[in-house]
Amino acid sequence: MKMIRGKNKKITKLMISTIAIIVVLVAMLSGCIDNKKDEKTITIKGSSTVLPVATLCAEEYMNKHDNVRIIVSGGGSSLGIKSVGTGDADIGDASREIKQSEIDAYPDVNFVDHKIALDGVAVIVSKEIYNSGVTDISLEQLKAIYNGTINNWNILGGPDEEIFVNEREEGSGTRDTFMELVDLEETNADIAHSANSQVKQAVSNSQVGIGYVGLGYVDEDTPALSIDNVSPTSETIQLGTYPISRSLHMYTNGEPSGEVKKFLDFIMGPEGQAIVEEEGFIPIN
Amino acid sequence: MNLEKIKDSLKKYSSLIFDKENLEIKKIICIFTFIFSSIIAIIGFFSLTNSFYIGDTSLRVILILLAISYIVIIYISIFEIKKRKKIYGILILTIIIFVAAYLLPLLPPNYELRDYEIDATIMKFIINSVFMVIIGVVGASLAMKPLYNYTSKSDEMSAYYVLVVSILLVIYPLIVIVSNIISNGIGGFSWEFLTQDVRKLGTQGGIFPALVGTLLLMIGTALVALPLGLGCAIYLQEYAKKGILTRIISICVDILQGTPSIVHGLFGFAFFVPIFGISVLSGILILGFLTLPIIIRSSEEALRSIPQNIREGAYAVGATKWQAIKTVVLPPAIPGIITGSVLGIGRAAGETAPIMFTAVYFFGAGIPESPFDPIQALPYHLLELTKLIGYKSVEQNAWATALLLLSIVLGMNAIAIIIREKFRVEF
Amino acid sequence: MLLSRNTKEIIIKNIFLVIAATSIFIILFIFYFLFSQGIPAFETLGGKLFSNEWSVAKGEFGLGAAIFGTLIVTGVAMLIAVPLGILSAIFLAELAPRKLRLILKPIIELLAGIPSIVYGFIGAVLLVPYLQPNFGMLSGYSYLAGSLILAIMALPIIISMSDDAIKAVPRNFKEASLAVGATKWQTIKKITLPSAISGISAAVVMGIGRAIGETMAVSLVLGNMMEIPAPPFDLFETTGTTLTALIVNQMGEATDIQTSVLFVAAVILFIVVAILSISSNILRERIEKKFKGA
Repeated sequence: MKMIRGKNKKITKLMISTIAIIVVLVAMLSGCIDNKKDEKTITIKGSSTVLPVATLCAEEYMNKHDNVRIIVSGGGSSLGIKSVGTGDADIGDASREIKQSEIDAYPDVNFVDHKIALDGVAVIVSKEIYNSGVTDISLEQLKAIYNGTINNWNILGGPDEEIFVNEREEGSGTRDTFMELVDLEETNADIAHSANSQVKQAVSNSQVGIGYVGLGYVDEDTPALSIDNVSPTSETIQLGTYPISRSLHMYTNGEPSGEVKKFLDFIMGPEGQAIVEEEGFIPIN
Repeated sequence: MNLEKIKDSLKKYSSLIFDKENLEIKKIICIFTFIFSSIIAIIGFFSLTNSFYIGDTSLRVILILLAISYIVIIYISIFEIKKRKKIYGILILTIIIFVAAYLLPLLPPNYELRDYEIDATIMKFIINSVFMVIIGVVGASLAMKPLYNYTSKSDEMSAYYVLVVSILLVIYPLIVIVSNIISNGIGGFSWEFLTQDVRKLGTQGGIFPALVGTLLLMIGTALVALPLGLGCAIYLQEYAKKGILTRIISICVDILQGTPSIVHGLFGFAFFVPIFGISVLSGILILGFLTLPIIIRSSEEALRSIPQNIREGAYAVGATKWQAIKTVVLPPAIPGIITGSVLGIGRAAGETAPIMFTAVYFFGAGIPESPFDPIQALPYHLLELTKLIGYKSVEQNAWATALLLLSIVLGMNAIAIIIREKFRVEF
Repeated sequence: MLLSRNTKEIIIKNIFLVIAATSIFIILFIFYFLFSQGIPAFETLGGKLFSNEWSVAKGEFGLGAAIFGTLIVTGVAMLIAVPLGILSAIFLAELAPRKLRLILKPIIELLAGIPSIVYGFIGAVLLVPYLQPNFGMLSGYSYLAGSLILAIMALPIIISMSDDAIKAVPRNFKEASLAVGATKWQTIKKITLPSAISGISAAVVMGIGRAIGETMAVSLVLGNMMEIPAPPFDLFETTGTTLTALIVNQMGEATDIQTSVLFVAAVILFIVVAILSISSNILRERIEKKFKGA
């Protein structure tokens, strides 16, 4: 019995001391890294289209301003606007305009719109499809693909393959913009994604995919089709000739002040807009 | 009449060719067939998982070779066994192999299931690979039979072969997963990775806040679940009278243990988040409640494994109940309690669903300053990186995060197992 | 302290009683809360909760597709995992030499410890891209991928518990059989396995419980559409979701009625797991009764 007790006392001591060491280490490290006392936290939620720009701007801003912490997350344009309404977020990202029903849902909230970039909803296809000659599509064809009437690429001049139709989840601003354009209430898509990046991922991995994303998500892996012979470029979007042009919005409750205002000014200033352009979107000037 | 004559002359012929060395030849042929069959199964399995096809001619050659060796086996066996029935299995197998050797390479390259409304195309190599695996396994196990003269021992060896194949099939995914994570993830490990914050959407920088967050969650979970769980277990095991009430409690504990982690997350989202917000406190409470039943159960078992006479011995020298527990029951039970707790906390460290909308963000949360601040965590970080693959070049960091998370969780499990084995107290 | 020994004992006992009561209270409260949050959905939607129509915009919340998804993914996973698991357990318990067993058993427990998000990650990065070209699928995200991942995840539990069950069969059962001349395999087939059947069933039940409750691993390999494939057994179609994936996908953005519907989904899962738990307990009690005399 004595031996047993001795052994167990040993491991108990071992466990306690290990845990104590870990706790002390963590406390010390966290103490060392963040010695900010009067730190202000800005919470940003919403559109996955705006997410990369918001995150990268937040990172740049935090590098320059030690006393601010900016938390950025996604969830869709609807969530972004709702979060501003309920006060869960200081800034709500949205890739569409706020709806009247949302304004009515939060009567005490004064939604102020800050446009931070111009964007177009690009229709991307797998590069194999693009390389096989399908580089343009009409609005009618687009509508037909998404409601299931057209099901094979060969109808558009491509290979004899079934079309892999990607869409976004309900609550996505990109989806709302797209559906408004093609005049559809429901779709017959194959798969719904919860972020632009996942649509791009799916179209890129497939050889027969189509999907819609913000302009910043287009590259040679997933090239964009021109719609009725209008390509989504900086010029066509600014001129408005590209059919699915839109702005990217950041909404606040009332006029922003303090750190929030400084951050918004940063985004709309030269450094922020440089990031906007780097990510493939169009600066607002 | 004629049949009898043929049989007799065959018999005379064979006894001329095969004398006592018959046995040796049989052994060699059977073992060769066994090995050859197994190799076919292995080739088939690897061509299935690595998407290559060994080619029509190779397939034909292999299958015909196999069939020939079976014919030799049949030939040898015919004279050995009394009941012809036992060869039927091998006979049928041989016929199947010959037919397959002819047919399989002639299959169309694709078999379109879409005509039957199923969204798939079966490729020729898939059919052939699967066939190779099945024939390989069945053939090898049948080849055992002649080796043991078709007795029940031979049935046993055939069955054993199938069992070995099963365990190999089970271990294969584990090896694939772990080896991929290690080989792909180790490249992303660097001092920078471990000490820096997330940068550029996770393509650069590291996971330091996520690591801290996970550690905080682990410590917090222990602080919540251990006292409650151990105290509850002590009461249930040592003080409470065993009756209907304790049975119901036991069932409740089991049900909570089996409850999916997302349900815990939903509960926490609706109950804790409105009170504490998205914070490390919410996360700790949710994970603590998730781990509570595990600790109750394992502590109960550890206490139960202490024989009653130990307690009675203590009472006999005048100890009170608590004194008995404190001095003779708890100490030997501690390894078991610690094992269970470490396993439970290790599991909590790897959980994603319960913390997703209740405690963590991917970017910006940093190191928390108070319990009401949100945090980052490794499992959620891995989730977000997975969603970004293909859009940003986060793959290296994703593998490295997976490796780190796996190391922490499996490390905890390993510690728990070592404690259990090393400090096991035998009564 | 000048308290008598007895008083101290009573205080300590009551401290533990309070702790135990708190734990039990927490458990019961979680049960109660889940049910109460799901009631609004029942009141508003009633039976339509179980239809196949799901559209947030229209306010239709039929869980039928998710329930179907949970059933089919779990079912197929079990078809793969149960035979493989039991056979492997027999190997582990009866066939493996001591040293091999000492290595293998911890390896299996290691498999059980891999976090679900890691399975999901591997599924998304290795399995899904493998399935798509090899089976000519439109996309690898499918019930097939979900079933395969779940099978791998359920295997360790089934193997571990079945192994325990087989090992628990008393030695004299087996020795008696060997004494009358049966081979080891015949003994396993006719004596050991039937005796262990309760424990093995308990293991399978726990495996089902694990598969049903899995969230992250499946949600990353499914198509996440609230639709039933046509035809229903088409595992290759890019669609589908399970109750768990549904909850995790919608949780962040759900409105009031939708949140309540998610709670109904949670309650369904909860009830199923409760039934499985109780069955497993009953089965395990049967073993104790059976071998009490041995």
